[in-house]
Amino acid sequence: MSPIDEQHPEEAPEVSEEAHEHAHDEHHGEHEESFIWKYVFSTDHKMIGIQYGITSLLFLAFGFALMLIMRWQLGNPGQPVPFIGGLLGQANAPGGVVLPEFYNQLGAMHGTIMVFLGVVPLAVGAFGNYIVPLQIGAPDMAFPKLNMMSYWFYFLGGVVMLASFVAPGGAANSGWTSYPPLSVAVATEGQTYWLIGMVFLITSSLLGAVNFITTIVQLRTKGMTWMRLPFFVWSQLVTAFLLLLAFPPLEAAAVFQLMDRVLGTSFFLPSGLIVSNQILQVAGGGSALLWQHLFWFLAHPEVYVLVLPAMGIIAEVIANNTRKPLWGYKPLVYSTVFLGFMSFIVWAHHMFLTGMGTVMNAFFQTTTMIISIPSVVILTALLLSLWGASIRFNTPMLFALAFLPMFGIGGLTGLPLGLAPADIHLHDTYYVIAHFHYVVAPGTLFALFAGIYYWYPKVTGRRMNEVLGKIHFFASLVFINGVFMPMFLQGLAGVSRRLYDGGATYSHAQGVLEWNAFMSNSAFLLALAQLPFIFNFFWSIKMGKVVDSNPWRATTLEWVATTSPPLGHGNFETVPVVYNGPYEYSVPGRDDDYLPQNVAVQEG
Amino acid sequence: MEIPYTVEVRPDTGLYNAKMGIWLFLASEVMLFGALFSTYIILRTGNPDWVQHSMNVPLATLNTMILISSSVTVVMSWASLRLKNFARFRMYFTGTLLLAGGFMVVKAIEYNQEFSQGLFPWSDNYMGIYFALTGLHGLHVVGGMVVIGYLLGPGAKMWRTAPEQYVNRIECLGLYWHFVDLVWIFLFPSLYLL
Amino acid sequence: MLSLKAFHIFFIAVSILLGMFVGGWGVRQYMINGSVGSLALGVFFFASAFVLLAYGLKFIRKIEELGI
Repeated sequence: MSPIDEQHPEEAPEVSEEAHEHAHDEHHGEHEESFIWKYVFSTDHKMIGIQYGITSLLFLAFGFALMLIMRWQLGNPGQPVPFIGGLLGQANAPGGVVLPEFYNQLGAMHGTIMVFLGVVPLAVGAFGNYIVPLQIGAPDMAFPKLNMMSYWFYFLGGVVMLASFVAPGGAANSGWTSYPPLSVAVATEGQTYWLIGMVFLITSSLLGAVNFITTIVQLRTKGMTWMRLPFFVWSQLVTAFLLLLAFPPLEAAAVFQLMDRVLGTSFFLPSGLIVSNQILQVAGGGSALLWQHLFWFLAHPEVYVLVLPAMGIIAEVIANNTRKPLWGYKPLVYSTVFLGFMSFIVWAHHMFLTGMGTVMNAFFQTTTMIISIPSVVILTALLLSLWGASIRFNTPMLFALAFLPMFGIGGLTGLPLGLAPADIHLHDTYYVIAHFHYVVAPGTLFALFAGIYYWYPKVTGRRMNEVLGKIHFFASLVFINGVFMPMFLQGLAGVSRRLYDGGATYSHAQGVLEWNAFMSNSAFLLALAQLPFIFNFFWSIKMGKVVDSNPWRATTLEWVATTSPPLGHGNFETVPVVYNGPYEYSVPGRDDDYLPQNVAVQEG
Repeated sequence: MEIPYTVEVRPDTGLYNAKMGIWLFLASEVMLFGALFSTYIILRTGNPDWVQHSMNVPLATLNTMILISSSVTVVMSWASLRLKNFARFRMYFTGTLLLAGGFMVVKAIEYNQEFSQGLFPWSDNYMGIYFALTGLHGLHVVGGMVVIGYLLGPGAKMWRTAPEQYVNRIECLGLYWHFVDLVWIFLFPSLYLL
Repeated sequence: MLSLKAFHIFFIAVSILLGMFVGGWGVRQYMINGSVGSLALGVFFFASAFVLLAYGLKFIRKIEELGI
């Protein structure tokens, strides 16, 4: 990097004296922060990103463990859960055998934890926080204290969700969708915890979204025009808008459901509702369907919140390892923005079977078909980027390459669900589970793994072990398909997704019942396949191969304008200036096969 | 490196960071209250047995006037500060705080009347919506009061250390306050009159 | 754009519309069921709309004069 005269910006009044001091001391490089301010209540986006990363990985592991207990029950109905059966509590699993009520809790909390406490915080909170300011050449997020608050609201939400497991009657057990009247009139105390936890998580997301958008719009460095933004930043920007605008209706809905449960209102309870052979003593007149509308108004954009950052990561990794510019950067950007808009008007395709009417069905089928177009454009552009490249098959690239077909399966199997006639058969079967898990598990989670392997050297200055990484990749790829592929068969046979015994008592399920053990065993092997990753993750912190600041020979600012790991508060020695697009790889006539964004090229 | 545009305006967007942030926050608030109002409409139109209670219109009218006045005082306080007249600013800003307090007192009287008539959130869905909407709006008023109190008290020393940023903060508070008032402008006719 | 000044003018405009609306509503209620209270409310809100209109115009003039 060419030394540029250090420019001291005009002394601008700081948000607080404390932040002011930090910024100054960082110049001298000898500042000693106390442990608690540096690692716990940090306002540095990098530390907050790491906090998000570690917390969300722990939640992912926890949510995965809940699923393993469910899979044990499905694969070996009525058998005591090995190893941890005794720890589940007599009320949940007497003698280690999972009770149906506990199975329902596991299902509801697996979904909630994976989506709201695992994937989104990792994709947005961790990667977004750590990478976005670095990629746009900003010293930090626009509102560092808000950023810290966002993390701690998330943490609180997580604590409330975990606490619900020891509430009377256990955790929420009405599915992650919490449909009333079940969630209001029948559910136990845990549902109230769930709602309070959700209010915290929503608040956290809102603070984060405000911060991300402001940062990306306001803090782009000199020369970082919109069409020079790395695609990852675009994906985070659109994601932040989805979080900002889709979450508040769920907050309203959560408040209403909380009032229904705690104050005895009946927003979601119709008149004359009979529960356990008794008419429910409420005023009535409410609408159960209303909850579904409010819930899915959030939860459909939420799908794209899960997917877009993943696509952003994949774009970075693919461009870097094909050593070519992305094929169709602008169509990618426009598709992403269009996808963001469209995701607000497709929500009721989750509700074809509620009897909301054929006009509504027709409208939402049409929008659903339309939204598949930009998704296909994005995937196609990423696929075509591979054409003619001499690909570097390192671990992040392997995960990225696997993402494309896996996400493709998830996306294409969604089309029948988006058409009401096909959905009548497939609704609420294992087919749905298989479909969205292909999108989120071998889709988004693989992208997140790619991101972890790709940016690990950025955070630690060391690379993760390649051999362990490849073992992790290939084993995960095989076993995750072993888990989800048979679910399509079960779903097509009509097996409901919510059965405690996996369909053993249903005659139409008999032909596909043997897959249950196969899927469960695949799930346990998938768990084993994560061990190399966990070991690698911790081992490489101290023992990984030390690398220079740009080990992947990448072009974007986080690699070329600062060290690895980046400087403390402030990120950059000097303010980087951007001259080039984000993916200038293999520029003809240059010695290097990459042209950093902050290097000016002499014309002629 | 310091965070740019905390005080000065970014030329291509015409905004300083906090103003961008507050408008985004207000956008999410629009979605929140949009969902609340939609719920009201859907429940009311979907229920043939809907009961529309007649609430205390004079008190609500008084509250409407209080909030409109408070939006005037908050603008005046911002304008006074722009003209570097801190004393006038403090007068208007204190006035805003008092008006907000007045609003909450009137609201409390209203709630008390309703309780004494045996009207509670669980009485029927109109009352449920009424308490949910006015309650959440009231929480927003209280939140605004806390911020105003902070900016008048401990936060005011920023006027000496970073005057421009202090003016920005007052502007952002003013934007938030106008939004809260605007919500009431829609709440009043839809809950009390129609 | 997006300044407090602009938002204030917008808010006053909406308040004027509210005044006109409630004014019309009150008069109409009076014509339907002869309720004097509604008429009084309507007249009050009509008056407040006019006051707000005058205030709004003065605000715009003054704020431009001061160059804020």
